[in-house]
Amino acid sequence: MPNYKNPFEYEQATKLSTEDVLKYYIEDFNYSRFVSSKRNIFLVGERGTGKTMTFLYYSLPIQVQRVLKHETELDLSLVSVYIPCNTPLTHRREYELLDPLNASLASEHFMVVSIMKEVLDSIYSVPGIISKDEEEMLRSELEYALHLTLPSNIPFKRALDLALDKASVSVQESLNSDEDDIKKLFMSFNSGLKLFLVCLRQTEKLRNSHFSFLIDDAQLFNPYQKRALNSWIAYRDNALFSFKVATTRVEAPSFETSSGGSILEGHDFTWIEMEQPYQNRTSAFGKFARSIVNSRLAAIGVTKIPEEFFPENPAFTKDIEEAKRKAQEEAVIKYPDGTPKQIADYIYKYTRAIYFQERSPRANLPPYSGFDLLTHLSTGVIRNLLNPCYHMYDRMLSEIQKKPENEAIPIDEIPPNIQTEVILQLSKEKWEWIANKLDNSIEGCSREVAKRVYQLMDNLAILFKKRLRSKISEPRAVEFTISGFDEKSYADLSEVLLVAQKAQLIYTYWSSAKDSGKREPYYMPNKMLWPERGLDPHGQHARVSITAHNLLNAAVNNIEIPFSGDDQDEPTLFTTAV
Amino acid sequence: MNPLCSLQQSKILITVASWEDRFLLGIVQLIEKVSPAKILMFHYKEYADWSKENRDKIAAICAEKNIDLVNDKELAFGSPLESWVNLTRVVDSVINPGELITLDISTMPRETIWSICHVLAKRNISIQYTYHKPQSSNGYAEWLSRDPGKPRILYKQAGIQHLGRPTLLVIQTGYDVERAKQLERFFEPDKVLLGLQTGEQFANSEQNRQKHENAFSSRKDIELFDIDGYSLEGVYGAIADKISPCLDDYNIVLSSLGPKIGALALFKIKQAFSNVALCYAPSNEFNREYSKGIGDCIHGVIEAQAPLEQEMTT
Repeated sequence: MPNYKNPFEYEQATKLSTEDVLKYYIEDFNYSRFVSSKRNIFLVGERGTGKTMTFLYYSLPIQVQRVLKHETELDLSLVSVYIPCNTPLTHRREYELLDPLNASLASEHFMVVSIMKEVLDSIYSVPGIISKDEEEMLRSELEYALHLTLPSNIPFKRALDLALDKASVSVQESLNSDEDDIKKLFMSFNSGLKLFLVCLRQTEKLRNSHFSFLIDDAQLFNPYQKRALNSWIAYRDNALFSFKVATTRVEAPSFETSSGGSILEGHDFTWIEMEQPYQNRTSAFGKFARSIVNSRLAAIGVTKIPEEFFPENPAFTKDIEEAKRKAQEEAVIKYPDGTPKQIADYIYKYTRAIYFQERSPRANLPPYSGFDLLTHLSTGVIRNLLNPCYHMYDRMLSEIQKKPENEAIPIDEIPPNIQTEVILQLSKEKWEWIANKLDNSIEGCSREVAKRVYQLMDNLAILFKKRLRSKISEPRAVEFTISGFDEKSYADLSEVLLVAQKAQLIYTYWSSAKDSGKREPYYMPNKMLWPERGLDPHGQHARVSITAHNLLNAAVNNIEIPFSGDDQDEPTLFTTAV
Repeated sequence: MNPLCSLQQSKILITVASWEDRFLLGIVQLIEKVSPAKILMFHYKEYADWSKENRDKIAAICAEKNIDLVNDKELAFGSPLESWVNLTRVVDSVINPGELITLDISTMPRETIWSICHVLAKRNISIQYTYHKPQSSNGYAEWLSRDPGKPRILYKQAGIQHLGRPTLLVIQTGYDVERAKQLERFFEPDKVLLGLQTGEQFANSEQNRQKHENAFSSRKDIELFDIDGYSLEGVYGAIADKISPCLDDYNIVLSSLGPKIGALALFKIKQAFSNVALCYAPSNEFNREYSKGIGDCIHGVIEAQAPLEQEMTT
């Protein structure tokens, strides 16, 4: 039996081996250049958008392995240090019991010693980075500058490891006892980390290094730590250090600094959205998704391109061709003197709509399949892309295991029927999860809110289904904006939307409104919901404007969102620039 | 034969009021057997209406029996800081050195159990714990809790966490698989140890073990092991055995979602191993019909700074 490994496994990135990070990470993605810059960056995205993977890839220990593998030279002008925040130390809550000064000092101390430890481990991943003579020089300098004791009979790295841990432990011991006024040495950014970096730059190989701190899951920092981090970002002098901060959107930190000021986007940092609103094959995400699946296939020795490995159902392809022919005929009738662009736009808008409209209401759900469809189903989130691929591959493995050993063959494609089965199963499970488990899974989600979320998603599906089956200008729109927000509706609707966002049932993006040009949010439901409802996950570049009143009615009272079936009195609709 | 005859008398009984049958019936039994001179009865603000009837009944019983009842101390799931401050201050004020305290944990949230144990351990006070199961037949409703809150490590019980170590999460599981999943999502640990309840009580096999096995058994980073959450010594032994080889390599977080005797065992483990943290996984909604009647009482004594004594089931 061949050794089958599911290449689409999507463990949390911190559990991947160095080899797998190097194998699976796609380097030339559009935000990679920001992570390898000397600017302060906020990377914002929900779970599964690739923040950790990006940080890990650029971290020094992984880069060391990369250059060893490719026999290139390590560039130490940028030393990127991965800083995980999801540690029990970060989750300590005694800061709530302390006076603000002690709480602030203790909180910053834990951040600083944790970062120093990660810096130390990172630089020592480079063989021979610090010579013995330099270690002795550093030992003296750090003892003096940081008030540490680094016994000369213990190797330098080990001595510093122990000293940093001791500095952390001593403050923890104070917190565990009832010391209100902690009489311990606190390290701050200036008295600890910055001095440490300055000392490290005394060494030959790090003389010109810029230290880039890749702070992962910064939303988990306590309020004092978030303010401290913002204060560090506010330094603006980025010669020695910069911060790349990854955070979820729903719990994104404020921009307040320890002194009560604020950091400003554009001046102090750049804000990068990790979720990708466009998933068509020519979009950045579409290309990224192809590269990811290509790399996963290459890892198991499959040379097919993703479209060949995940082929579209031939009957569906044929039906779409037929729908395209009909759309072309309609376009010619509608625009007898139409320009080629008008005709092409019409075909783009209506081909897939015609396919869905002409299906018998009693027909089975469409044969969802094909790599392009999988990319759309991901809704721009990598984990959502890999999840169905994983289950499809797993299904194939199960099928193979049923066969006699001599009949086992390598998996070189996922047949369309398996794809359809898995997609429909996952879609069904997602609806069941909303209906039955949301309030057991999402923090801050009561039974009532869970019911509202279900009703909102259900009524959106009903609206989108009606639109898809209607002869209107944008039948495939599966995104929406909210109009007519008032104070009363805001609180109730926000609560529902927040839970839906936490549950990754709705993704939020910002763009310019067509009429006013103002930046406004728009909402994209997770497209994995749509197959179970017979909708087209492709959608189109259009958004339905729905009033807050109607959305609330849908969520709270389970009243369908009004739709009369023609363009005259349907909700305002507009297309966006792609 | 008196089923609770081995309980020791103690002057102070600490409890958290509930709407459940086993709370009222259990306290009535304890008053009879333990003969407390004082009862410290906390209640939770969020469920004050539900617990009021039972609290009033306890007040009437205490008045009749001339027991000093402290029943105006309110805690709140939504205000852990205030609750901690109130709870530790009140408990600290009523205890006397060397005096055995009876702790009825039957309907006590685990956060409260651990906070009280922390105060008592600090003052070197021995604890006589009592836990009343619901009635054996149909004792539990289909669901227990919903609307999970954010998991939180307890004040002063985060242990000593060492820099650069990965996280090991240990969960004494209960009937709710989603809460175990939530803890795993929250900490994103390097490794998870899930203690699965043994036995056939309360449809344990189908409703608890199988669900956890289905959800987690294929994961390479999750190890399932057996645990008897109704035995303090059993939980202590099983978890101590599992974590002992990991003490030098991991930062360890313990959480309890199963029988509450297990929560006491986790507290003892935290006392025994310095780099272990206790984590509470709150819920914002409980089922009012969660349990029915009263069943066996498990009780025992945790001696101050002494090895565990064998507990008894009566």
